[in-house]
Amino acid sequence: MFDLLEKYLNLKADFIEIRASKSVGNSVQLKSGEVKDLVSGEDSAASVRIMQKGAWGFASTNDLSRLEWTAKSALKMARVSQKLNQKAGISKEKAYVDRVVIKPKKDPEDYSLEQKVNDLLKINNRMKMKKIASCSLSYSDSISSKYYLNSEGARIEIIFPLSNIFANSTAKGNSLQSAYKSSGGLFGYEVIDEFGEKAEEASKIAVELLTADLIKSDKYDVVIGSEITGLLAHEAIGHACEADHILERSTVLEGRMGQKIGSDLVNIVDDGTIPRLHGTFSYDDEGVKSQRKYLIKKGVVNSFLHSRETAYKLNTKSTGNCRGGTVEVPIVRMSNTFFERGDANFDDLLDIKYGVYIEGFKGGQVNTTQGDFQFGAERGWLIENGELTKPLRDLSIAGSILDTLKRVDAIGKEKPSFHLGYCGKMGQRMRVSTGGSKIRVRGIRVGGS
Amino acid sequence: MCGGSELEDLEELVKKAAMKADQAEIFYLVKTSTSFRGIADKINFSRSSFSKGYALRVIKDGKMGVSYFYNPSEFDRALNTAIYASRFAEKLGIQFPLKKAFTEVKGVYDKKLLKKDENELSDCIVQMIDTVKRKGAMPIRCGAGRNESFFCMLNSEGGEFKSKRTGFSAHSTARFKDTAQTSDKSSHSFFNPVELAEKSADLALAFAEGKPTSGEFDIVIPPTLVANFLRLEPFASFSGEKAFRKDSYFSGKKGKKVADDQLNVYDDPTIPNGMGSVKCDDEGVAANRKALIRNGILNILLYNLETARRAKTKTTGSGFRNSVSHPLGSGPTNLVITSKNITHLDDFKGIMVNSLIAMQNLNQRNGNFSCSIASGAFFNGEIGKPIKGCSLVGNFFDILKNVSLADDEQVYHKYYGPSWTFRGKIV
Repeated sequence: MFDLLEKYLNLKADFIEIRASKSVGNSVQLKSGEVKDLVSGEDSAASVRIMQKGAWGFASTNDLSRLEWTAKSALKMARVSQKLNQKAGISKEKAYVDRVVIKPKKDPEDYSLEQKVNDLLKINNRMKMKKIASCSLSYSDSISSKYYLNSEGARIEIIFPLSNIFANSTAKGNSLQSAYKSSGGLFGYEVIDEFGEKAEEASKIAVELLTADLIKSDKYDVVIGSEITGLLAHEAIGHACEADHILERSTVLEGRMGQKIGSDLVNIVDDGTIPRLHGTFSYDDEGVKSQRKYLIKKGVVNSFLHSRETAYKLNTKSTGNCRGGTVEVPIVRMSNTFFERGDANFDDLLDIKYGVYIEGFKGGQVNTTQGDFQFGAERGWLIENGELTKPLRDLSIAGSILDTLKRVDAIGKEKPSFHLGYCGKMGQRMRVSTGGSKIRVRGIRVGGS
Repeated sequence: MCGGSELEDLEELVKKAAMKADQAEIFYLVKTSTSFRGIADKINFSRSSFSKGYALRVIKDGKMGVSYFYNPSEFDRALNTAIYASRFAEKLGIQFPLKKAFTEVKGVYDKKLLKKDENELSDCIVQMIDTVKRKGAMPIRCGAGRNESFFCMLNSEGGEFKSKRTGFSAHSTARFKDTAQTSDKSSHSFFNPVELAEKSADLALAFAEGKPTSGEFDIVIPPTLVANFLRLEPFASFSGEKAFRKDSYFSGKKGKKVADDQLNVYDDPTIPNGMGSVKCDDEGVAANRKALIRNGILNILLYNLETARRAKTKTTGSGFRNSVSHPLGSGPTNLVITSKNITHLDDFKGIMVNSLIAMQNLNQRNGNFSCSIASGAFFNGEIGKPIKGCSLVGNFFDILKNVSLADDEQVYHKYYGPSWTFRGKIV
């Protein structure tokens, strides 16, 4: 592949980078035990990014016979963009020459579609139970090869697996309630091992939610489970630490490097190097090595997330966080973002007179400009005098980035657990994971009825 | 963009597939796009892209198998995969449609847009940035881009269609003090994106420095927010398949009251220039205007060939593809909302909720939601004191039953209707 791409590095420009990818994959969807969709295919794509006289041009194709058109289009776009006195640049980084091969324990290509369907049907059977109106399973696997080369001499090839499985159950009583579980990352077919138990758990939760109560919307002391803790780390802090938002002046953390915004207990990390997690990668899409960095250390803003472009503008080094699909302009993204563990056991965390324990996430969003966030929780329990008393449903928490971390007064001592997700930003979708240990936050807004 | 020889090649591929299967269908899509994006007061990047792909469906022994490919040289592998995959499908007895003539909807292809060169498109960015600054707000990001697509479907039963589209879209996000506001628009033809820059700046200025409030109020939400609600619900719930699988609020509610007595919701693919307008769906089934909700009663749900067979009903011509590599789904085209229950905005007193965050937290199945208000204000015929730091809580399906439409009919992407007003709770 490098031979095919190399010649387009000879165009006259200040900087050229070429990315290409090939992948082969399968996906199977089961709905209520029926094979709904089963799709197999091969994808390939390439893109060229060029910087000339301080302006960027980008072009992409999924037809590798059009590489010349792609390279020339990128050059043309860079020339057209030289308006408004552009001053784009990139930070100086080491140009790596490397080949990384991540092997799955069980190569998905070694398992027939027939076996995959049969294994999924077995999992589906575990999801069937009284009051479950429908359930679905969605499985996908792929083996991808990514190629990165640039005019500074970088040549990187990465071969990696990616497999995910999602289970969703809907229970019907007086209303409909649903719950879901997932598993996945840089794995092969082994992702399916032991997922049956998780899928069954999704059905049990959906049924339990039928008899759960709504809570009155108000401020409560809240213990947050690891799935939502991860969302808090990703949505509320991670996005606000993305340096492109800093440059846009659209984050409340602009100008707050070194400032204390949380309690001493709060350490939030973005780490793309943790083996096999869904947000893990060896090199980002600018050829910079993946890294571990503290976004918040002992409550203090410690690091922003950078691409080479944002690092150049803010006079620092890239943190290896520039990511994008092959046909997308790479932008600043997170990897695996989480709260580091503390020293409290669960009983300590529940030391609340009247509050709420929430777990399981249902999506969330942050407005980095205003510093507001909101996350949905799959379920919760009322805490009364340190005991979990009543199950709750349709919950959300909302707050302000600059206020909430100060209200964290205990963090669980259990090992952080991670949950796969896809992060949407500027119309792009990127695999990430989020997680952490349980945390206790005093007096935040809980949405209910 | 797509020459006759490529179509002849497609015919050959369909014939080849039909020799191994009982029926075969190929959907072909080719798309080019050019776009520019600004961040703060600079052009951040410019982009050109070309993509094409083929979706293949075969029916063998009454079962459907699916695959896709990007290059005709990969066809044999894709065909074998699709035939193999059909073994695991349910025997539904689907038949691909026969030959039928369709009349293209007016205004979905505009040659003049394609004459706009890269310089003119990049000028849009410069003008949007200048406009936001002139208004006294801060440009955060903006973008403008055009695209052209050609797509066609051929099947072994003679069914076929060809269609081409142009699209132009732009967006502007402006900030004033603690508030950022976005304005966006899409069309098949060029429009002046400066109007979006002006609007985003005006909104940022109007909603800055809001304060929390709480209580029960008459609420008005603009079409931009209505459309966002409808992307979640009932868009998903109008899915006939979801209802059939009892995974939707609308399950078992056909013929029953689900909305205000005066409310009508139409799926209308025939609107000239409409962003969702099509002459037929991606399976080659004619697309017609249909009432989804008539006088508050759920009238019809949306099906493609496959989901209709499962639900033992007929397709509504609602089978659409997001890409060639994803399975064909079903959904509405343009959503038109009308009602005789009208509120005059000039006389309206209450709260305007302009934007919410985390709307995906709306429970798709029971309609409950609690969403933080990103921008809003007291409203008394016009926007007054801004609010934020509070949440709108309620149930979307209860809103449907109590909604009154405002007298400000608008078009926003695929939504044709006015603002909504209803009694709501802010905490």
